[in-house]
Amino acid sequence: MESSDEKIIPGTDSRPGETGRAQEKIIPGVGTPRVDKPDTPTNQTTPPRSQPEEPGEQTDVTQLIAASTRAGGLNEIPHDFDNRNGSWSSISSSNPFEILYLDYKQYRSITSEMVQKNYRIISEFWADKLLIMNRGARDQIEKKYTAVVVNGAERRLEAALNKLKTPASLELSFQQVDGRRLETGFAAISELIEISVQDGHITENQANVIVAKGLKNGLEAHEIEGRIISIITEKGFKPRKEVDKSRTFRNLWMTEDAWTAYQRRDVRVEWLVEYASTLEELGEITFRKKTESEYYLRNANYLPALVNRVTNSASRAAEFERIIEEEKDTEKKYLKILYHLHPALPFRFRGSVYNDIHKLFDDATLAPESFWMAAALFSKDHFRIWLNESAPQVAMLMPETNDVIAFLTFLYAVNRHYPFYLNNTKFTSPEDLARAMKVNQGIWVNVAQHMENGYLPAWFKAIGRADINSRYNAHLEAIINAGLYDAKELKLAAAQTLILIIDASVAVPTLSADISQIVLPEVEGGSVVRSGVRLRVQNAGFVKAAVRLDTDIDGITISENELTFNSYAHESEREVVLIVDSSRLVKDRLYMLNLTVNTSYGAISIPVQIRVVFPKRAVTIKVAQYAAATALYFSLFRYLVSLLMNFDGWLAGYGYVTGEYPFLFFLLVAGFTAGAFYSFRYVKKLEKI
Amino acid sequence: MKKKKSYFWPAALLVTILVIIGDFLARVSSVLFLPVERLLFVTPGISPVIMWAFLGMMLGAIYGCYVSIRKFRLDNKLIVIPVGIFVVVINLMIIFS
Repeated sequence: MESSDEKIIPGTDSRPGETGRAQEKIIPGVGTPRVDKPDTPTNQTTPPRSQPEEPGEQTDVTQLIAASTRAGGLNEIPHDFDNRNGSWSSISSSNPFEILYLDYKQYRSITSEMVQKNYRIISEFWADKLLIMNRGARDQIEKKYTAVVVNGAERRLEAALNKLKTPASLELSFQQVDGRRLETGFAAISELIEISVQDGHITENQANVIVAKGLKNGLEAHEIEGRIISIITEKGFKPRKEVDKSRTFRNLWMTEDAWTAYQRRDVRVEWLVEYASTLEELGEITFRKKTESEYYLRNANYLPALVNRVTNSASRAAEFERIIEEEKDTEKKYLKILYHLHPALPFRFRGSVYNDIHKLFDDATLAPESFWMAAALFSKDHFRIWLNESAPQVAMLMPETNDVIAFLTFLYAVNRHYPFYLNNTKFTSPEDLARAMKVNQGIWVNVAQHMENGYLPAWFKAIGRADINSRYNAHLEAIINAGLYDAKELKLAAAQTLILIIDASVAVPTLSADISQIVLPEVEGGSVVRSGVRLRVQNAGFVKAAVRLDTDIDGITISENELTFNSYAHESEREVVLIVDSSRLVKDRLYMLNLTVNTSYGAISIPVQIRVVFPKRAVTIKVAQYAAATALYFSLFRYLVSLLMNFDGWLAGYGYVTGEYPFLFFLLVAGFTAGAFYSFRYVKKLEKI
Repeated sequence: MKKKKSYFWPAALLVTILVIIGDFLARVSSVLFLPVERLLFVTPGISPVIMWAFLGMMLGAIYGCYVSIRKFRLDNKLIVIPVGIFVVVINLMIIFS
């Protein structure tokens, strides 16, 4: 036996209305609406529950242990084993199965090989931690696991191994664990059963209260009901009237004396122009005459008095009076009264009536309108009011909040196979969602928003795919830290990440370049050279790249610092241009650097080599151009002088020249001089010097 | 309506004055033109238009070199080459003229 101070691992705990409980399916119980329990063998029971822990984590650990056991045990340490509040905490469990990362409910499928394998893998994990702790990282290890846990891990694992080594010891351990659970649970409800049956009569309402308490203490509904029946049968109770086969406590379980007294009663009260003699009959009338009843329920003058007469009980009348006085919402007041009168009454939903939530959700999940209407009713607490009275064990699956996330958690706790609606589009599985995302990028932003608002994570978690959420968060954190994406791009990147996580066959969108290196061995000084690199995204997807030069050199720049690739928007190829302004570089020196392109999915590096040489050709051309132009200008001037003087010979011998048109000669010389002057300004502008 | 100012009469007056003193202006212009003409006159066998084109070519080469230095950010000393050639040629002309 384990010592009493040993901890229960988070995964074994549960509380009403928490997501932690939501993973469990309710075993069909007598007198309660049914909810599937597909993964649990019918002859097995749930583990003991005590010491409440954080619900989100406990769900994951329990679920992970169950999934690992179903998969044949561990092959390696699970990826999140070492997380804060991760599965490592199973070492502190009082349950030997959980210490060895096994689900005791599946004990029939647990083999000795599985036990040995799990023992070996977990032992290695803790031996490693012990080694790290003893080598100096004591504070770090102690802070996370505590020294007691690390030092005692091997001893606990060995003890657990001894208990589960052989089929016989494994069976015995199962019985011990299960026996403890039943013992604790029955002890918790025994007093309540005694109080409830004191008057020789047990009603369905009273039975439901006991069931709710039993569920909180780790029992199953059918075990609690069996226990109640066993106790009351011993006290001489019998079902006096067969009202409902499926809900045994409606069948008037009474002692002989109580039954005699009940038969002597002959009370008839008038309610909404009909007659009733029991609370159930009052409820049936209220159900049929909703509008009229709402008028009579506006204050406590009418119904509590009738309840008092029918039940002969002031406390019962007070219950109804309290509901009428405290509940201000007309619809909620009606529902509370209705199901308090008669818990077995059906629930109205979109023109139909439903006796259990399973059938209601079956229909509600067929179309988006009904799906979101169910969510709306959930947010108004209508389901909660109904189920609190009629099926407390189902109501326990509801989270305490009533938002959409809580609705989804509850919905998939009822049946994990229900579809998910992304607004009005139906998805039957995460893989179905990923398939749709691969062909239609139009839904990506919407998907990212649903990840952000928690709807999709709630779905993944509730259907046992919480690993998607943890991996998504880790990836997204890396993407955000990269600082590349703006708000909208971040949504696309998030959606891309989700596809990659869900569908392992999808290849990551990596980039490739059309050239392996850029070599510019003879860049003429003064020129600006551009060299383009075409980058292409290899697989379908969205990715953003940061383009950088690994060395900052004045004169070597790139046209783009960020490139966005989106194969869905036909943006699979982008060009980045390396711009070399040779005037800023030293001549005859070899510049070696790398052009790097980084994405969330990898990086490519393109070596760049540049050497600037003297611009012989450019200078020659420039000198020739100006020499020719100026020669032409001078010769034209001299030719015009010859024309003006009407003499094509040399004028060097004259003291002065005026010709026949001295004023024109003046204009020609003035124009020539002014032209030379203005050419400076023009050239400066033209050559940008 | 505001009457547009006419420049006709002042312009006409200016042109008349310039025509009147045209002879004087031409003589002033000769002061600029003739020294260059004399410098370039090496032999009557070569047309003055050709020699002026030659002068223009040399000055253009200096100008082109200056533009290249500025544009391609080259060493300023480069200008020495065309200027040196120019000086040598001019001196040769002076000697042979």
